Amino acid sequence: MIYVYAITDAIELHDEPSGVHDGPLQAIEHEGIAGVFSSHDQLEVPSDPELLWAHERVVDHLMEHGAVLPLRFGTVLSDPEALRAVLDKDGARFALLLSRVRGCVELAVRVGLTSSEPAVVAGGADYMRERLAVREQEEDAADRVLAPLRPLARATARRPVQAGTTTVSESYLVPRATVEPFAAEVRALQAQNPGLSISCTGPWGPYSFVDGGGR
Amino acid sequence: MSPRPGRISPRPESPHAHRVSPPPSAVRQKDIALIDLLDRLLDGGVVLAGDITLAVADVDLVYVGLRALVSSVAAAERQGVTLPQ
Repeated sequence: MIYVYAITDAIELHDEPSGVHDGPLQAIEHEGIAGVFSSHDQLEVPSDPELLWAHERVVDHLMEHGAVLPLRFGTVLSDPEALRAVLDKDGARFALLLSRVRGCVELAVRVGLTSSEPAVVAGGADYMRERLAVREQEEDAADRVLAPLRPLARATARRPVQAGTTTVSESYLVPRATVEPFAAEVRALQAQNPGLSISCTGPWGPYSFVDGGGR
Repeated sequence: MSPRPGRISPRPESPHAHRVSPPPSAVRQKDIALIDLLDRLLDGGVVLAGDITLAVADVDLVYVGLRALVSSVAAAERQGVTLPQ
């Protein structure tokens, strides 16, 4: 069994970290695009943060050497030949996606919404409608706050607000050279909006920008 | 690297250990980084077509638990509560 981390145009591995369960990394190349994987006799991939970080660490390392398409966590194939078949079949699509993310990293920004309960509690349907309206106002407010970040990014992907959470989350595909100016803008936005809680993490692999379009 | 099940880890041994961030508190920053990691690795990334197994176990419960954590931290901060480090 093999665990697959990423597709990349960096064909050779240099000083690479180990993968999940300390598996040594290998690469298989097909027409200028490589799949990076580790081989395992047995393989279970529970949601242990250690394993998640191991996956991202490999992606991170590969990004130092070329353009990278991170795979979703938990992608397992039977053997390297199966991976070669994927590269053969989808090589053109991967090449296009690699060209879109080349030189860029993903940054994640969250804006904590200020409240999620309407002021007036009416009957059931009214309450739900009111709550929806409040949520929409909050999302609009978050949109205005985040607007200055978008010109700094090559692409933007908004994540849907998850039920039970109070944050708006947006992903930005940012050229490496723009990471610091982007972070400075986030700090400025936080200073201008002391009532909001704004966070920025990254650089991540371009997980939100590998499906051929925004999300 | 020994497995540490159930523990919320910061990003260990990363070349980008200086993740860009204006952190209000170390605890919170760590949790947010983990949520952002989960969002990306479990919901983003290339999905290969064909005969593949997505061998992820137990994700949903942990994921929901972490979301609830971030939610409640945010709620507590809104109310001016200082969380223990």
